[in-house]
Amino acid sequence: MKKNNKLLDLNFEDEESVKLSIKIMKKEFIKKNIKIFLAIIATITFYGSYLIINHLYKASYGYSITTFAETDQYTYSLNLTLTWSVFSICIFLSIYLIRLLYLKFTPSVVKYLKKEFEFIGFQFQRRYDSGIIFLILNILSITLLTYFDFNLLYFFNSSTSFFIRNIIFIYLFLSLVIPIIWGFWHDKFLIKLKNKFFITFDFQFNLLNKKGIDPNLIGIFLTSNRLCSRFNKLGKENHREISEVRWLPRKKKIFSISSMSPYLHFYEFSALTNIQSQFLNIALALRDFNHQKMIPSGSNYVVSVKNPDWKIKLRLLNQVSFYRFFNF
Amino acid sequence: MKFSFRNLLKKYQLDDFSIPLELKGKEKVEFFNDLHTLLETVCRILNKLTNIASLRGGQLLMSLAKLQSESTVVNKSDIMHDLNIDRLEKLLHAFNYLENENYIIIEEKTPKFHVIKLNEDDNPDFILFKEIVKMYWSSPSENKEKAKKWSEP
Repeated sequence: MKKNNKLLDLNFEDEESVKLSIKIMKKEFIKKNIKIFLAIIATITFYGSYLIINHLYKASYGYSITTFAETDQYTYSLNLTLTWSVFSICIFLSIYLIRLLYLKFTPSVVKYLKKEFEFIGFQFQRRYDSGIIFLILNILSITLLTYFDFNLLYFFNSSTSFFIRNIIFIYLFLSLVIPIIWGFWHDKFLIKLKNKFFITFDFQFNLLNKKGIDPNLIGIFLTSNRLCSRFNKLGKENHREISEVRWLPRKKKIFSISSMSPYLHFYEFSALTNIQSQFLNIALALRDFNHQKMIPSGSNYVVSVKNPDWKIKLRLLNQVSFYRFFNF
Repeated sequence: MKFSFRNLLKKYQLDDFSIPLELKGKEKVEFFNDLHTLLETVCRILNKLTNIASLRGGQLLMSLAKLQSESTVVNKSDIMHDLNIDRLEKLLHAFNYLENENYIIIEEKTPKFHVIKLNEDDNPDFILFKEIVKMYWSSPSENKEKAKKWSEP
């Protein structure tokens, strides 16, 4: 085990190193969970304190803590804006942090995987789309609510007003829900391969299992991007054939939102030691799928082969296979 | 018994399309027996591979078989690069295990240069193993190149 930049190098080459690596991962996992748990409590406490202070202030002075000017006709406050900002940030943060609890990658595992993939020329990265989406949608919500707070926008008792008000409510609701759902779907570690092709990683193992940890069962589920619809016959046939040849499981073994997807994906399971080979297996499955997709459907093909030792076998419909029977 | 797929092709002239394959009586039994031996040898190879206790032992053996069929001199670093492994220490356990099991022979030319060979004399099944690996197995480094070439814009 090498200590480098405060992070330890994991090693799974022999029994002793595996035990030590698991110990490190377990320690980091507990530490990370405690931090997240404290952050959730702090967020909830902050929101609760804000509500209590505002309530007490209102009870004592007759107006909200955010009110800064009052005339006979209008009250100028940032009541809506501030309440919505605090509420939305607290909800989003709480759910984001809960989501982090399920992301079981510890810093050392991430470092180990980054190193393994860098060695074969691929970049293991994480995408933070949900935070940016939340920010964009909420800046719009806050701007809108500020307009209401300053009485630059207000509603009449008309049906149009009622309709617009409902639309704004729906928008506020969606501006909170969309980033959360987006986070559950896309906030993952991945490797981008080509255009729309990528592979996501789920570290699925309970490091806090009381019965003890079997090192052979600590692993990573790899899932490809969506390939095509489940109802696409040719795509399904190609998917079946490639999965069979490359020994890829046809169904996702763990429950997730993507396992209910109407699209086909490639799946693979890997232990931490053989992550490179399993990754290359699924990456080449995607490459095969991409190449098969490029062959137009509906007829047999005769392919000219430069190597005279190669024999061609034409199979069902557009499937072409090469067999190097005599290529010694 | 030393069984080779290449010898099987030659024996029945399977690679010569000008001669029809006609088997009668005893010849057919012999052909069946040869096929039986082929499958039996493959099964023995599988059994040996699955019983290698060292984590990277099986892959090391396959890599050695492939490299040995392409080059006469194979050293530890060649295998390390072929398997996409960053440090030789990761393979030391496998080298020791396979040497103890008599699957490989390590010739120490210099303290830093070790030539590795499959022990075909003690394990004649390695002849067929080498043929299969050479024809059908793509090494991790080959797979890496394929995946990288495809993913490059």
